[in-house]
Amino acid sequence: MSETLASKAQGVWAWILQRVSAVVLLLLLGIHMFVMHYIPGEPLIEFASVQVRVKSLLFQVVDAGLLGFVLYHAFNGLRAIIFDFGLSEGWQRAINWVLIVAGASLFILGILALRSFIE
Amino acid sequence: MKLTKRDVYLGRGLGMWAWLLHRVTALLLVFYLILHILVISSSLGGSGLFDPLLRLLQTPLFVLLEMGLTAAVLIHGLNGIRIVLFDLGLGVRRQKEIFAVLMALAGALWVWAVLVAYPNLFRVL
Repeated sequence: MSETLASKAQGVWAWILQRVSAVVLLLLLGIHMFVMHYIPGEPLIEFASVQVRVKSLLFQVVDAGLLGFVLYHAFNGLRAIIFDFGLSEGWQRAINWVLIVAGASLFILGILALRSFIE
Repeated sequence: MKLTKRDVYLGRGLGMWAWLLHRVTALLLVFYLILHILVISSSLGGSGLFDPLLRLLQTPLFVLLEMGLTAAVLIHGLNGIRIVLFDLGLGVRRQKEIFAVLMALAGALWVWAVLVAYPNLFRVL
């Protein structure tokens, strides 16, 4: 029974952080999707309209926070799915590194994109 | 605590479908997230690159796809509440009712989202 516990294969902190990020995402992704897509009669999204929105420090924090939490949650979740196929420790280590590099790269790209609207 | 048969995950029934639904939506959302960050980072090329791309992505086909995306987000997000509750030791014995309530809420929110986004299908771009 214990071998099937997610917390054992992935590490207990990864498991706890997956839950913490889940709860944070309910709030941040809720805000993001409502503001970007579900305000009735909103004009089209374009460079200038995003510039106006991210002028506010609040949205800079929301967007950067969302980016970090969602990437952690997505890539750690993907890791859990991959590990459930039962891989050797060598493969697990390799996949850890691939996912960390991919996630960190997307985080940097996202932050650069956010900054391009502010400058 | 003594485990009864009802407390042990048997890998079938409604709980299995909820688990499968969570995984399938997870994979869809990871795929979308990667595309989304790549698309939005076109802003690094300025409005000359960003605006035509975003205009294409707000055409009716993509408005429809976005309704599907919203469904995946709602299913994954609300079912996720159930998973967090279980990990805190709450509601495991009432998992079927909790799943039904959360999915009904997802359905209601999705109908609302579709009603809001529907006019975007007929926008002049």
